[in-house]
Amino acid sequence: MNKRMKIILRVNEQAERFYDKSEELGTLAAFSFREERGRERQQRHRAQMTGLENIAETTLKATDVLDYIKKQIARQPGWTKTYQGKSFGESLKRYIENNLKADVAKVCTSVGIGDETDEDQRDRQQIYLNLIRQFIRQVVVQYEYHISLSERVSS
Amino acid sequence: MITEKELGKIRLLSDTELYQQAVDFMRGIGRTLPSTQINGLLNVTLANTYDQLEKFVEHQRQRTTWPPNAQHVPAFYFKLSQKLKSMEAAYILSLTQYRQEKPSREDVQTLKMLLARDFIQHLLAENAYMTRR
Repeated sequence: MNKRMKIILRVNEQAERFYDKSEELGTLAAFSFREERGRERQQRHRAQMTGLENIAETTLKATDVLDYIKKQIARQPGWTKTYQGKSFGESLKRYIENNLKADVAKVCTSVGIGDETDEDQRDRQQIYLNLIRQFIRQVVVQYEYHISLSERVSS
Repeated sequence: MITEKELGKIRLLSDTELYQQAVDFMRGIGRTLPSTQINGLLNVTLANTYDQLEKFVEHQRQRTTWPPNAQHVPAFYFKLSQKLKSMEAAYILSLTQYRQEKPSREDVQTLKMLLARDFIQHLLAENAYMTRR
């Protein structure tokens, strides 16, 4: 198996392990935004999540995602609203900066990627970005699921 | 002309070095800049040459008409001017090392602007983040 295939396989394996965390953050996002009533406002919050997903899917730099999160924390109240002592924005930022960064090291070790050459660094950057994309996709799915549940209950 | 390899290397530097440097830089300043100020700075990097960016930074540094709540802004521009010079010294040579010939002045100015733009984008995000409640 070539290196590219190994990376895809290991990233997917790693992504299976953060299901619980993505569920927690998706639920937190749904609770953080749920007080916004009315169709227009709910659509705006969907736009928050799709905006997050779009930036993760299209950027070539992991730090673009972190910059986006930091700007949303500053601008959008839902990102800083606390629920059971946690806020969606800070929790997401911290998880990407710490946990996913640690996951990059695990994937690199299992594939045999070092930390010295330019190619190693590029591989690490791509793995980090792929993990971020997988994680955010899962968070958005969980968010949509919880929002649709609460909409069904209220209708 | 800037090569794809050079662009890839700038993206890598942005992720592995410039992001953390921008966070440290803003924390070193200790206070936030008005969003109009930092958005204006980013706009300069998006629509001008590197020479014009340097002139803008110098002009802001020497400006004496800052309102009382913006007295820290000249210090920000002083540090930024130093930072841009140190980035040039640290990265331009390694960015162009694969070239067969010496890069043109125009290419060097473009590379410096790409680095500065990424750094300032990170500054803008950290500045916004520091304003959170």
